[in-house]
Amino acid sequence: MSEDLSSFLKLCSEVASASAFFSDGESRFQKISERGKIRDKYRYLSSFPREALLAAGSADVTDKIKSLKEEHSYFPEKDFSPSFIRDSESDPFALAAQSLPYRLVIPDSNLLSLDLSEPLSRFVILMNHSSPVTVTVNTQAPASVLFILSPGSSLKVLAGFTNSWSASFVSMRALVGDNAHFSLETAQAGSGDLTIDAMAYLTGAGSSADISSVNATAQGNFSTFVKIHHLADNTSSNQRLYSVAGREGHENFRGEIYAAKGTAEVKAHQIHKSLLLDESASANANPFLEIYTDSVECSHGSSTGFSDDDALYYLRARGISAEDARSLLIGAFVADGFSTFSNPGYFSKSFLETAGSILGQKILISEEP
Amino acid sequence: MNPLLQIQSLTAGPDEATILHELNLTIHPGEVHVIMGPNGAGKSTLSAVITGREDYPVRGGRVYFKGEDITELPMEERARRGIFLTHQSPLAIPGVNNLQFLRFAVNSHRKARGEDEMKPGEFLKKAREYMALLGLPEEFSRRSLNDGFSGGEKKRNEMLQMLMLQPDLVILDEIDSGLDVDGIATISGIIKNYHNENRALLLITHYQKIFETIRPDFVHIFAKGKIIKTGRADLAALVDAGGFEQFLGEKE
Repeated sequence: MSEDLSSFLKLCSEVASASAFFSDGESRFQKISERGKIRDKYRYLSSFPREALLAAGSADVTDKIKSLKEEHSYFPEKDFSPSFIRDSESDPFALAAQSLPYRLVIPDSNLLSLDLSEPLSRFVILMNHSSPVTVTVNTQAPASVLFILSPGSSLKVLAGFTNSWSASFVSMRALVGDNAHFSLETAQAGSGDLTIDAMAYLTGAGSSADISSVNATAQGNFSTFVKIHHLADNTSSNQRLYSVAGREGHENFRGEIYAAKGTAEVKAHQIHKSLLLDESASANANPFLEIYTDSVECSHGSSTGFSDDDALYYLRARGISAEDARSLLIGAFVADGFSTFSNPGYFSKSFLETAGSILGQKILISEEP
Repeated sequence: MNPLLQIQSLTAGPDEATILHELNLTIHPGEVHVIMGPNGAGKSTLSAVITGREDYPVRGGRVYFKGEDITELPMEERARRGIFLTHQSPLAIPGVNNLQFLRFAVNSHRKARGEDEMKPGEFLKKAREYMALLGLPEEFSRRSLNDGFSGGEKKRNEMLQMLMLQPDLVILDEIDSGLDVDGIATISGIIKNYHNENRALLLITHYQKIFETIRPDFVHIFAKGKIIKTGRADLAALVDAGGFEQFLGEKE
């Protein structure tokens, strides 16, 4: 990890750890002078190295810095260090919210729905809630979201993308503070090209992240890039990704576990399974481990293959047609993928309809009669 | 009486290999046949070919069931006509609910007979009755097919499927393997009660323990893909006493 990225993550951790609630920060920000607002925003943005801003899915922020510099050339400062943020007049939460493209307030219901229908939507969501929050994300357009979780908070993100994708890239990243928990559950079914890029930075001690995905793809490329950075002690993570590909659908998976030097009691597990329905489909899986500590419990596994012939035989030997047997086995695979989702019902209906349609294959989810 | 199963000069085997060589076997309703033989003799291949496993192609001969030539029939059609194999090691299929799978199977059989689907309530009532008979707890209705089942539970689950599907020919491929003495007694008691003058059993086994409950009409010694000797129940005792070696070299 580069020094720049390290300092960025440290900064984000400090932001996430700030004691003030978002609303307090907002009111404090409004009280300072116009010139102060601009100066603080400039300082705030300048404190982020470009690499870090790109990593956070906020590339256009660098453009904002440039425009601020051009617009307010009387600012002589260059290359601010992160410590400048602490010298600002306003609250770091408010600065983040004011400086980055969109800001959102979590409603009292602790349920938030994001409709990222605009091209290149970018959101930064600051979590400073003691009770668990659920955010649902729907998009047909390229989008990126950065979640910053303050200590003790718990965030569950449900993201579903179906039908023909016009979105080409969806990025979801999380910075997770002390004892905070981030959970991302995604289900995608469609044709065309789509990349889901999910990263979690476990910056706080005791923090954790679970990333689960089920996808079905045909006539296109579906890519999932997942990386979980273990940057503090007692952090844990689970990656669980299931994919069904058919009719010239191609799946790419790259999953990484990174455990930083000097961290202790790290637990990280990764499972990837890909089911190919016909010879025209393919999968390319790249599981990676980057472990720089000895105090780690880590596992990873990846499998790719066609339906199990022995299982087909077992079902057909009881009188079930080859077509229904195949549908049951695909359904079993999908159900296994959804089995760790907190609310599989949120996805399953639209997922099964779309997946069945694009794959030209009925999918039977088996439930107790 | 017309045969239930008739195998004529059957030559078959998995992929490129030929395991069964011009095998002949006839089973009538009500009969109990036992196949015994050393490991690798082709006993399990025989059950795979009778049930119609496609990766065990037939290279010669015919198989008739209830007078119909089923040699080219897909395996699900054979099952619907009344052929049932209890697997030596029943496969676990996570994600496929145990009872919904069975309901699917039951309704596939009914549909093939031109009958309406069994109503869910009726199905559950019947399945629960048999589960109680087999000592399978209620939770088995919620679990995935054979997933996490013990060896004995898997065999009892096979019995549950047999009772629900009511086949005419039951092929029991080492039904006694992996079972303790009590398990064998339970399973063999269920098979004995199921068997009647219209149904036939084909047991593939290494041991005689099960004969204490199910008395065989014929015992066939199987070696190198064919039956080399046929006799009554006392033939099994000879196997126990002197092994299979004594029969090798004899002609069918």
